[in-house]
Amino acid sequence: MLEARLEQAELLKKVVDAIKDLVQDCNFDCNDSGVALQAMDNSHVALVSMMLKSEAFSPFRCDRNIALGINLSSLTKVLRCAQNNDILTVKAEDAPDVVNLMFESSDSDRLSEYDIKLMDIDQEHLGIPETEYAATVTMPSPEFQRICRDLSALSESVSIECTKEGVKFACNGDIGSGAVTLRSHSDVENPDQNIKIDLTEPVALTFSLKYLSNFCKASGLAKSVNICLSNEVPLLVEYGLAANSYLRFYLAPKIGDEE
Amino acid sequence: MPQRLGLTRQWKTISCDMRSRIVIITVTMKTRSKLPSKEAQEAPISGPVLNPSDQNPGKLVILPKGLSQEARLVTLHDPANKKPARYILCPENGIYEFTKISATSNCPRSWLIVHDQVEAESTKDALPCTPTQSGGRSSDANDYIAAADDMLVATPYDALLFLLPALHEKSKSPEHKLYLALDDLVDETGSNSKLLRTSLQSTVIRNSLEERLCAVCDVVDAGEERMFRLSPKKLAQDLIKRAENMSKDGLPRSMENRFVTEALESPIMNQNRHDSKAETSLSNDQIEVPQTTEEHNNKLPKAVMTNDELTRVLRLRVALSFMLKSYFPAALRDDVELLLASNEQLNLTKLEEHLNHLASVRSEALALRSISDNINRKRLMNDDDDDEAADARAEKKRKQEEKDRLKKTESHGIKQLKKVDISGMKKLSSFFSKAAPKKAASG
Repeated sequence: MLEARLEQAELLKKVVDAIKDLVQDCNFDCNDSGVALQAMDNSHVALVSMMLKSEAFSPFRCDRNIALGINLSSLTKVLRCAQNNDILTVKAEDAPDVVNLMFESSDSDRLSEYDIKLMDIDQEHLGIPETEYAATVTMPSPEFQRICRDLSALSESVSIECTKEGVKFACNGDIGSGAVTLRSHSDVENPDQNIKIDLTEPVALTFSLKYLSNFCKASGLAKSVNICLSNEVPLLVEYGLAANSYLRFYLAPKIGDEE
Repeated sequence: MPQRLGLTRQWKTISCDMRSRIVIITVTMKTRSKLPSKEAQEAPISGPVLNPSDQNPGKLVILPKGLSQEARLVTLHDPANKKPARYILCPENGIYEFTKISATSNCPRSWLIVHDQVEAESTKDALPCTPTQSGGRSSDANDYIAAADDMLVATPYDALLFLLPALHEKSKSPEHKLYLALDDLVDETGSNSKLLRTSLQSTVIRNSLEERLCAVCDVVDAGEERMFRLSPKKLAQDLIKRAENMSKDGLPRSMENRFVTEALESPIMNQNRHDSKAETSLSNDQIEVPQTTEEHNNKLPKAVMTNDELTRVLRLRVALSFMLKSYFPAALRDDVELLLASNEQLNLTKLEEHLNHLASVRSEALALRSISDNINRKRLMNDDDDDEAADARAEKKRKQEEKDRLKKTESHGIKQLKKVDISGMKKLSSFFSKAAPKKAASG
């Protein structure tokens, strides 16, 4: 039996919105520590990993480990029926055929309930080790989204170059080239605008802008985003959520395809 | 074997009349497949005690009429394959070979041999091989069930065939073609078998031998004796004459069906895409060359032989090859075959051409059939109410529908993502190792 109550339906709405364009169906793995999700895109070059810790729910009860195989489009449809401030309760049996979503309006007595049919999804999980990245850039998530959007107009891929001076997003396309360089910056009044670069060695890698733009759909979930890079390993784009929860995206770098 | 076996079937009595020269034996055909020994074991103990089955069961043999008292069953080496074979030597009537006639394996038979009082008396002496049971209490007790369904029929054998290897041997080298007297030939032939030599020396056989030798050999008179030398041409002519005789009214039915009708049958082609009149037909007197499409027209040999002519020649060829294969030693066979192939009277080349063409059409038809066969089988599957197949189909359909559904529910973003150029990007599984399933990644 799973019963998880989320004070704000907004969180799940935004998480699902952020990943629904990357993954079609996925398993929500529920256990007593919370709800986790790991899924790759169709091409298997990007991976999304979500963890909603049990602390994010109140209350959270999960007697057995269950995997809720859900089609994300279906989930999106149902979540659209919820308002951001609704209280969301997710319920499922131990061997469930359906997952039940209940939305309680916080300011009225409206209560809506939806069942989504579950599906058997045979997904392989990858073991992702904790990695010390050569460079970790923390920046406001809207900033990252803007850079990706702007450079997408010029090219399909972006090179991210981290040096002591700062981080440079550069692209080269048919109509010309463009580059955005950010230097470390701390805003005491508005810490959300801080740009922090932790660097152990300089890194330069190229990534697909389409995928990065896709990751940026999670921008609404967190004010800042961590971009972690190391040579020859996938890029990590991490959006931190409340209560130690997170939404992480991994993307394989483009190798030997210099533009 | 006594007859009181509690058999419930109706026995049918038939009489075999194999031409006029053959003794009529009344035999009863049995259509059950059980062995007599088995029958004996299964019989209830309370019933009459059965004799044990014969260790050396008798054989059913049909002998020619009018064999002399001196006629003997002998074992001689078959001149064609040098293997021992049984013959009947009759100093008055000549030599007979045995032809074994068996039922097909899918229709097993046994023989019940009933001794009719009168006929048993009259045939007793002339049938030394027919099994008889000693100590007959009644006529019933003499009846016999033979498990083996073979029937051995004695048929006249041309003694010349015994001489052929020797004749061929002596006329092999082109420079030293030797003429031989009949006695020398017989001596040569019988060098390994005294029995054969003596039997070939009997007057009747000698006379027929001489007559036959004249037909197939060049002959010179050397004083009182005639000397013979094998003439392949004469031999071929003789063979053709025999083959004509054999195929005059058509070959025996099984041979006719297998080697003539079937061989000349052209495949029915359904796939006349261009021209319906190009349909294959052999019913007309003039052979319409089978053709499938217009393009083939140019490639085909123009038909010159009529259908009847073709059948006649093919029958001859089958008869000839049957005789050559059954009675001629391999070395001689090749020589004669070469001669026959170039024989104008036979016109084998035309036949060969036609058969080759038929073979090509047939292989073409086969190729086409394998396609249509496929389709047929699929249809069969659909008609078939086999549950398993239906389930499998339902499952497949379900999966396909699922796929289609997924395709439809694919969000715009996912569709867009499919178009992204992922060149130079490795799969994530090459960076991260696979974890145990159902375990949330700590990532």
